[in-house]
Amino acid sequence: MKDDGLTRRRLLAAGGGGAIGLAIGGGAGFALGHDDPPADQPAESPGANVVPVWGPHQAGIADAPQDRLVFAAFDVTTDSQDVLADVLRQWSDAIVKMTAGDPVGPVAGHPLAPPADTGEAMGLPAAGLTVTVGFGPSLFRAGRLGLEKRRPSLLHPLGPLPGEELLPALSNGDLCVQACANDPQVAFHAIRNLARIGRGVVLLRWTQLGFGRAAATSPDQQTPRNLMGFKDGTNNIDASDQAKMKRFVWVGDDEPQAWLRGGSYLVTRRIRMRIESWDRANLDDQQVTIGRFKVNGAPLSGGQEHTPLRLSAKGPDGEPAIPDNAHVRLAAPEVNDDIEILRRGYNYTDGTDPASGQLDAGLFFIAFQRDPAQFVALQNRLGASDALNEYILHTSSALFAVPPGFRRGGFVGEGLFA
Amino acid sequence: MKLEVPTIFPARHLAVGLTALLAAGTLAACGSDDKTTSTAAKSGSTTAAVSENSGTVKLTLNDDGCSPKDVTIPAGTTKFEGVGNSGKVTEFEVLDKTGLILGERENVTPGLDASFTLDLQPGSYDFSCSIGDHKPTGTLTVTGAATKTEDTTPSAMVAAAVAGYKQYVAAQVGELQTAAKGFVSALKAGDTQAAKDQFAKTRVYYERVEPVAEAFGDLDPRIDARVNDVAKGDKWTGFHKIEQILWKENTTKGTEKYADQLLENIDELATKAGTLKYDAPQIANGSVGLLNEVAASKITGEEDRYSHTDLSDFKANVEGAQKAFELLVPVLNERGEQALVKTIVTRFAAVSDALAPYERPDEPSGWALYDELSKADQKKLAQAVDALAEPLSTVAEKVSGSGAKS
Repeated sequence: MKDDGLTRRRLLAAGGGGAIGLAIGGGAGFALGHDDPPADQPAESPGANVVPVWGPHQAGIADAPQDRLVFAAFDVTTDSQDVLADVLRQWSDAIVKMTAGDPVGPVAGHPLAPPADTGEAMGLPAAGLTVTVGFGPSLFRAGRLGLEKRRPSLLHPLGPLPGEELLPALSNGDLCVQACANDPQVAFHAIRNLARIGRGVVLLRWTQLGFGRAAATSPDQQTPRNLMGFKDGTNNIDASDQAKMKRFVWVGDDEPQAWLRGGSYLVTRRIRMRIESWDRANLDDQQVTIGRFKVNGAPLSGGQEHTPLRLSAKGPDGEPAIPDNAHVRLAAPEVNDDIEILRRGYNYTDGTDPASGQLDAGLFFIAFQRDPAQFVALQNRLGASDALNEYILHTSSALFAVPPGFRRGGFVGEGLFA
Repeated sequence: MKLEVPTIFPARHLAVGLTALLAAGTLAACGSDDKTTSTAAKSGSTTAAVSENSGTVKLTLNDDGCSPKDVTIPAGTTKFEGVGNSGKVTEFEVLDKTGLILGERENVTPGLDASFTLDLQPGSYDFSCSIGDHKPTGTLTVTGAATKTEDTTPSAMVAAAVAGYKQYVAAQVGELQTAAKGFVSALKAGDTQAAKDQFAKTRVYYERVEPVAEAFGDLDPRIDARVNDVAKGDKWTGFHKIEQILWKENTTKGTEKYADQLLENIDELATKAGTLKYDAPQIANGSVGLLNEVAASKITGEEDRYSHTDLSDFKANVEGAQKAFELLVPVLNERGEQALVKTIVTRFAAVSDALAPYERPDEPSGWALYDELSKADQKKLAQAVDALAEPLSTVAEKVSGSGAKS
C-alpha cells in the first residue's frame, strides 16, 4: 500500500476531536461517529451494512452496537517493535477487507497452500462488522518492547476494585481486538483470521463471545435487555452528542502521548450474574434493586423509559422512590460528579459452572472513556453499595488504550511506532 | 498408456549460466514422466521440458544391464525409452556422478516399455539397469554446448531434497529395525525393566518419520494405534498394546505375540518405505503432519498414556519435521523465500527452547515424564508448536512446481 500523503500530524490533528464535523444520520446508525468517509473509502452498497473503516476514530466505539461480539485479548511474545508493527499492518489490511465484507485473501488459491482466508464468512454480508484494536498496560512495561516512554499517561492497571473476584487467565492482555457484527460468524471469522495472521508473534490469551447487545448508544435504537430481563443502557451516552463524546469518550489534546489523541480507553468487565438467585427474587425486589420498572424500563420515580430519574422523589411510605442503594441511583451522573461513560456491552454465557452446575452467564461489560478514572469512580461506588452486588460478581477485568483511527496506507496504532 | 503431465506453472526460459549450473553440482532434471504420473499430477511438481531438437535413446533391459551399454548423445532434451526384456532387471535410471538419480522408471517387466525425459547438459553420467541397487551398468556421455535450459537449478535443488529425504527415511527405518529387535529381545527374555527402558528409545525412530508409515493404509495403526483408535471388533496391536501390558500389568507376559507382530510390521514398513516416491510438497506436508501429531496427542499426554514418555515422541516428531524442512531450505532460498526460512528457523529454535527444561539425561527416555508438566507448561509448548506450524504450512506451495515465476 502506498502512503496517500497524509502525514501523521494531519492524522493526529484530525483525530484531536476539536474541529471534526460528524456525519450523523439518526437512521443510518452504523455510520455514527465517523467523519464523512474519505473518497477512497470502500464503496458502501445500500443494504450491505458496511461500516466505514477509515476515519479519525476507530470503528466500533461510536457506531451503534451490533448484535454480536467476539472479543479477544492477546499476549505479545516478540520484543521487537518492528515485528509487532508488522502484525498491526497486516491486521489493518485484513480489517479493511473484512469490514467491506471481503475475505482477507483467496479462499481457494494455490492447491498446495493453506487457504489464506479461512472461508467461513463466504457468502455472508459485511454484517456491520467493526474491528477495534487496543493496547494494554503490560505492553508498555520496561524491559519488553522499549515502549515505556510511549505509555499513555492514564494507562495503568486498574487497581483492586470492590465486587470482584478476578480470574487472571481471563483478565488483562497486551492487545485486544473487539469484533462486533450482526452475524456471529462474521465476528468470529474476524478474530480467527487476525489470530492466525499474528500467530507466533501474538498469542490468544482469552476470548469472550457476546450474543445480544446490552447497550444502546442512541435514543433511536431500542434499548435492549440484559440477562436480568431489564432494559440496559437507557441512560447511556448518545454517541451522536459530539460534545459529550468529546467530554467523556475521546482522548483530547491534553494527552502528552500524541499518538493516542482521538483514541479512548476501553474497560472490559466480565460480570457474572447469579442467575439462579436472581430468578427467585420477587418482582418488587428486582425492581428496587435496579431502580426501574421491569417491563417498560421507567424509573421508579415515575414517567416513561427516558424520563430523567427524580432522585429526590419519595414513595408513599416516605422513603426514596428510587432506593439509596438502587443500581440506577448509584450509577447516575448526578451522584457521580456528572461522570459518564459510553457503555457498549454484550450478554454472554459460557455454559455451566462445573463446580455448581449453575449457569455461567451475565454481562460482558464494555465501556469507553477518555480517562479510566471515570470507570474506577463508578465502580468504587457501585461495588461498595449497589444492591445489585447480591446478584453479580466481576470475574474478569481488562483495560486498553484504544488508538485513534487510521487511513488508507496507514495502520492501526502506527503513531505508537513513529 | 501415455498420460500428459499437466504443467501448472508456465515454463519460462531463463538464461541460466553454465557456471551456475556447475556450481550447483547438478544438472537439468525436469523429467517428464510417461508412466507413473500420479504423484506429479497430484502435486503439479513436474514441469515438462520438451524442445524441438529432442532425441530418443532406446534401451533394452537385460539380466546383466542395458543394451546398448555406453551411449553418447548431444546436449539437450532427450527421451529415454526402456523396453523390458528381463524378469530380473525391471528398472532403469540415469544418475549423475554423485549417484543422484535424475530420472528412473520401475516395474518395466518383459514386453512393457516406459520412458522419461531429461534435459541434459554436457558431461558424464551413468546408466543403471540393475536389480534396485542403483549400481552403474553403463555410461552416458553428453557432448556439445550447454543448451539454454528452463528453470533448471530449482528442480535440481528439489531433486537433492527428495534424495536427501529418502536417505533420511531409510536411515531412520533401519535404526528402527535394529532398536525394535533389542526391544523385542528384552520382552522375550522377560526383562520388564529393560523393555520399559527401551520402549521410548525405540519409538523415536518411528516418530521421526511417522507420515511415511501413514502412507500405507493400516500399517501405522498396526504399529502405533492407541487404545481409543481401535474400532470395536478390531484387534489392538503394536507399541501401545505392549506399553499397556508393560506398565499396567508390570510384566512382559502376554507381549510375545505383539512383539513378533511389531517386528513383522516394521520389516514391512522398511520394505515399503524403499518404494515410496516423494516430491517436495509431500515432504513439506509431512513436516507439518509431524507437528500436527505433536499438537494432537503428545501435548495432551494421550500418546503414551501408560509410560508417560510423550515428550520423547514430541522431540522426535519435531526432529523429523526439522529434518524435512532443512532439506527444503536450499529450494526455498533459491526461490527467494529467505524471510520465510528465517521465521521458521527461529520458531524451530523456540520449540527446542521450550522443550529444553524437560530434558532429563538420567531418564531412560531422556525426557521428563508427562505427569511433570503443568497446564501452563502444556500451553506454552502448544503455542510454540502452533507458532511454528503456521509458517511451515506455507512451504509446500513454495517448493512446488519448477519455481519459475510467470
